[in-house]
Amino acid sequence: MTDRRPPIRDEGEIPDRLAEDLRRAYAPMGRTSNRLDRAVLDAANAELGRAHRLAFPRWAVGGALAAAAALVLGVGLWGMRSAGRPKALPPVAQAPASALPELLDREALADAGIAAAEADPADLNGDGRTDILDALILARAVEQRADGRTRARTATITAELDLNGDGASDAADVEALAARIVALGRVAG
Amino acid sequence: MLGRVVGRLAALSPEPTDQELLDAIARADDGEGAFAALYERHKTFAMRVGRRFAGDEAGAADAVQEAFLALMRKARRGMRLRGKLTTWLYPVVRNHAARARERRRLAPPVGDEPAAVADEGDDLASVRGAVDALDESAREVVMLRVVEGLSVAETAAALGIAEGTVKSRLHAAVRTLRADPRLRAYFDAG
Repeated sequence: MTDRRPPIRDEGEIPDRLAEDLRRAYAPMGRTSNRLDRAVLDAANAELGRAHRLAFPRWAVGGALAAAAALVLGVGLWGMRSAGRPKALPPVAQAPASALPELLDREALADAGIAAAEADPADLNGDGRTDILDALILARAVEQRADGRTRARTATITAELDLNGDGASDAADVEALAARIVALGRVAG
Repeated sequence: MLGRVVGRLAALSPEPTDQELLDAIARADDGEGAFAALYERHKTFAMRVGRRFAGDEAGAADAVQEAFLALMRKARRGMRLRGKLTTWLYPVVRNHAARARERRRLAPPVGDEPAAVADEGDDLASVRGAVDALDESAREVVMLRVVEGLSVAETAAALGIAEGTVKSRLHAAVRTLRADPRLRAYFDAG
């Protein structure tokens, strides 16, 4: 018995009529209901609506980011400044009120970039407090004097600067002032 | 409503490509109309895939909806097609449909779903019976190549397989169909 079927040109080729009936057979599977169509489009429109509400011009986004960065930077700097400066250190009460006013020539302080205090002579940076920063200012002035960088007429660091009473006004006096400030801070804390 | 937005879109371009529609969604200029046009163009393909893999009407509808929402979100971020949109849609719908089928398997039955296809002729019933009897990998290739009209390369992209694998699966599928007595008339007629 022989196979009377005509030869197939390509084993992988589907006869045209079968291909057509395949498409007809499965075409109804692609029908969508009006309910589904509406659900898909409504969901998409809702999503697009949300996207439009959230959309900002690029310049606005950039400006907001810049403002946020500035805010973060400002808060950070304020925090560093606060952390580096003890707020509650009391004035150098033990230091004789007359001990510091003449310790540093105002111009010498100005040379060092320092705004001299008016109200409290010990408040060398004029921030209303006499604390470790003032001791650092004093240290800088002493250093400039030791290096000869302070102008002669403003280099008058009198004997009153001799806080430790060793007969010389130098770094030891700065240390004495700092130690006093720290001790006062502990008492106050 | 759909006709109105598609009509608006038609004014934009006589026959916008899928990529042009995706770009319109990304630019948000008539994004609704562009999406509606894309949905109208590809919904039957998506629904066929959804029905085949979800196994029920509700699962298929869920899969189609999820797939098109995923498409819209992707389009809004700027989607570049590397082939036909159907090659992207196919695995997405199939995966959503398979998950829907799994959820249904785990959930208690709530009643029989109506048959998706009814009152088809004897010939079409035979065709469906023969193709449905193929193993899944062969049936996928037949559906994409013959029913959906994708090229070998597009079928390979949709399935994530090599073009040679597409050809070999199609050969095997046709060999099986040829041996099926229900389809003898088609092959005898040549």
